[in-house]
Amino acid sequence: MVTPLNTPREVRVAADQHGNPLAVSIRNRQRRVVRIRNVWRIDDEWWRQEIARRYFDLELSDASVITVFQDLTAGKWYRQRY
Amino acid sequence: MQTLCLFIPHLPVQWERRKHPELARAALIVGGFPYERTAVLDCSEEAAVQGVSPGMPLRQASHRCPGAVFLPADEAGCAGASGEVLGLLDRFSPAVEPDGPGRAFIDISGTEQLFGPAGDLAGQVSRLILRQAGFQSRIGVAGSKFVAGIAASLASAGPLIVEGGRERPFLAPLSIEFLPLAPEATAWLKRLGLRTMGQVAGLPLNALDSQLGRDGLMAHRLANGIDQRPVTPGPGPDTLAETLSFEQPLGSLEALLTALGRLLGRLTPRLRSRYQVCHQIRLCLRSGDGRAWPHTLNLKTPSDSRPGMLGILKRHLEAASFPEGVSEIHLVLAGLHGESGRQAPLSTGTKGLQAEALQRLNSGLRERFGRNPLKRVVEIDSGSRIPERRVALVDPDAGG
Repeated sequence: MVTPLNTPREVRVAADQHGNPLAVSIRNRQRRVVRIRNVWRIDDEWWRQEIARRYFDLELSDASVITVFQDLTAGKWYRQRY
Repeated sequence: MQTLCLFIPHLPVQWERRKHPELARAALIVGGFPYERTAVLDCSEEAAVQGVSPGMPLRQASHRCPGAVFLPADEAGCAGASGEVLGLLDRFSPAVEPDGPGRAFIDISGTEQLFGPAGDLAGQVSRLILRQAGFQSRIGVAGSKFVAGIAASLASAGPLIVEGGRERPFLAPLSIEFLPLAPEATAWLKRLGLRTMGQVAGLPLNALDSQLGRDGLMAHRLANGIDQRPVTPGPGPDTLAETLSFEQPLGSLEALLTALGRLLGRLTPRLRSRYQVCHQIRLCLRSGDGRAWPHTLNLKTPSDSRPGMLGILKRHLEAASFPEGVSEIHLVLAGLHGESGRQAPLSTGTKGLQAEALQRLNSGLRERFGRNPLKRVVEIDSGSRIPERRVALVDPDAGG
């Protein structure tokens, strides 16, 4: 059996009107986004099940740094190491 | 007994402003974002004058003060700041009792020889808290914890000192809301027309005893300024701190790291002597004009290693810039706890031995659990732009 590693985990994100994250809820605790370090987009596999993601490297109020992305086809947010 | 009560008003707001000096004059509301169904934890004076108060729903607060900056509550940060303040109070007396976030009692009996009269000592405490922790504080001094606590909450810029024997007249005009009673008991006293502690103090003891029992007796004693509870020192502060000041501000990262190395050189032996590891590093860099850059770093693996922590600080500071130079470094090791265990390497570095060790582990686990919970990490498509397509776990017996 093959189990993919580093699968995306759904996460609650509050974003502004431009889709930039303002706060992330991790283990039921809100952490404010202090800085967006990097933003990039991935579009792939449009010929079968389209993958369109906008990734953000975020610096949070507890000094941690995480990577999240928004699935642009469904609108949901996920956390994933890149 | 002479007791000093230190009270840091609006600790959540002061803590956020310490982290973000640019918010010094902003209307600030702490507790969450306006769309959340929670309440205001604390707010700045700028928000309070527009009708915002703690306990109010955040949505309502955003209507009353639309220009306010909303921030989620940072309980861990505030607790850490309280611990830091407790660590500073240790310098004045060995008997320091924490009393919730931003509040502490100190037994200052017999400290006149060291620090002078109570007023001088209060001034020293408040200046130290402002300089080292960056918090404005209020101080009350009295012969008991109850009166000192109320004095601190009523104090303004200077300390409020209630001289011995003046407790009862000091308390008399104050509201019964100050008495530590259940809301029902306070409501009952109000229904009887009792509004001030002076009125409660003048009641016959039997009347309060028959109506409120032990709480009534306690209220009567406190309203008369009688409180014999001693200051009970809490557990030692969960932090270790050191400060270095420089006449010439440090301008380069190398100089900063050398200074941090010196501070860690003092702190880590103390940490090891307690058989503890540290979970969090708090760093406050101060420029010559008093501006502060606080940083909090949570360690993935708790550590007592000087090089390890210095490496983490280096990586963090490389991205920062300090154009005005650094004239003071305050370094705190926090989240201290005993080292309960450390992940040992799964096997030795030698290839043959590694395979043999894994084989042994494999059969041991299979024997114990009936199946092998170990998996092998294999590369699927290491260059994929989609992270979950790069590596996967497979059964160790599978080929490939």
